[in-house]
Amino acid sequence: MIKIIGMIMVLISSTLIGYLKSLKYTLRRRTIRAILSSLNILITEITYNQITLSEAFAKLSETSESGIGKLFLIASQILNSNEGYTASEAWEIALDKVGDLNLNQDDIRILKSFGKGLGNSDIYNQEKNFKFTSELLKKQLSDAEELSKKNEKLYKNLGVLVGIAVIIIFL
Amino acid sequence: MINKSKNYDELLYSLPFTVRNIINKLDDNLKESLEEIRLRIDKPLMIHVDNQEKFLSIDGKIVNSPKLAYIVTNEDCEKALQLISKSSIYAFENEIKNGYITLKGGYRVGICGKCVLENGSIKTIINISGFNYRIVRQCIGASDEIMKYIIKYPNIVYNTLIISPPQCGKTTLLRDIARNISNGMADFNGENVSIIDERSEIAACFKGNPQNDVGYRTDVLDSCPKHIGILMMIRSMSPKVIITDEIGKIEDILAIHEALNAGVNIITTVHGNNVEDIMRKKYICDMLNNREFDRYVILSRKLGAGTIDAILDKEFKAIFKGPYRKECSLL
Repeated sequence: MIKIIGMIMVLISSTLIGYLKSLKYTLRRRTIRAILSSLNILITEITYNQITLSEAFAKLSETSESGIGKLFLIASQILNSNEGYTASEAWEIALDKVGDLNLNQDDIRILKSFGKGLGNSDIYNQEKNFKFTSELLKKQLSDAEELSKKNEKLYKNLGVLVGIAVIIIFL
Repeated sequence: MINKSKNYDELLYSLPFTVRNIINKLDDNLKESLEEIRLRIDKPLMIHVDNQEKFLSIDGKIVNSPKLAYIVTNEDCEKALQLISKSSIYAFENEIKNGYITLKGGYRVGICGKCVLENGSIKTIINISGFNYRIVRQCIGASDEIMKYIIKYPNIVYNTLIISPPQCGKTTLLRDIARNISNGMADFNGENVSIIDERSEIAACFKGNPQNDVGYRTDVLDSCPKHIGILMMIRSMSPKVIITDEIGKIEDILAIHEALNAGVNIITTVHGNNVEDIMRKKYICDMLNNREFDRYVILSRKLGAGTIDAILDKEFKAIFKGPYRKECSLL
């Protein structure tokens, strides 16, 4: 009886590990997509409404998906604290502070270099920065999609199979 | 007073951290009489108080030698631009083109640097190396005593020209006249006032919202060239009185004629010491000769900024003799 319970436990936990591993790919894909759509809204706020970044960040913190929303929220709070931070500094601090966004190093690097151009030029150059970042992120997105297509199933199956293998070995 | 007012914070927040600390360390009475803070790259930090430029050291003391003063760095200037534009330079493109940004609270920051031209007009200013933070003070009540010469019961407003040398408080007076006409006084019902604020000095609009008290019945057209604005306001807001600053160009005069023809009264200012000065000015002298203004208010610095020297009537006869100066609580 105990053996059977043990076997089930092993199976469940290894399946879960596999599932969690595969989830990381899904989440990265989702996050990049969310960032892309947020950037789209942000550039409209900049070019059309011409509101300041602290206001735009605050707006986006309400509409964006949770992780990204938090990023914008922190950035807007830093800007509103009136401690003399510029938008690019606030963006960088927010990126460090926000915690795990399920992004890889390359994604973070793109976001950081995006922040460097934030707010310090005219509309034309702001647009350029946004376009450039969007293109880079789109590449990251297709990369993430490919990886998740490849690995999601793999890790899920691997989890189950490893579980079964362990059970067989210890039987 | 001033250090306790909430608005003063907006000025501090727009200063780079190093300069902010220095200004914070100033004596309270210095803070109260502060008129300008000047940042110039690689030059000593300066403030303008009591009509004098003074150097400031890093611990917030006035020093005589520029060598002892705090030297403004390149970083300070970069930071200052980011802070006055709230890190959103794109949102202030037009303001930067014109050379100044109005902050919340009505403070104005003049900027200069390298102009980038496009098709012969200024596209933007880059490498900004000089900042002039101006603390614009309202003087509520500055015009109370002279209103009786400008308005007549129940609702007549005289066309008035304020003649003043620079820095004698003509904009301050104009603003307060706007407030009084707009709000109404004891025996005068308020009238609709339109302000055409080409240089954002009268109402000091921040995002279109006047930061200075210009009255309940006042509409402000911000950053609009006077001659265009006057015609726009006549058509759109049907004002009783149009108020605008520093006329002189032929277009301005033509637009004022339009306003007078439309039955709108005008109150405006011009640079000069006295009526003779104005008589020598092209275009505007015709208006004087045609007796188009009913009142002339002449300002000077005899008792300090905002001294009213005299008020003349249509025929240049003095109906009020100064010098008179209203002490006002700084706001």
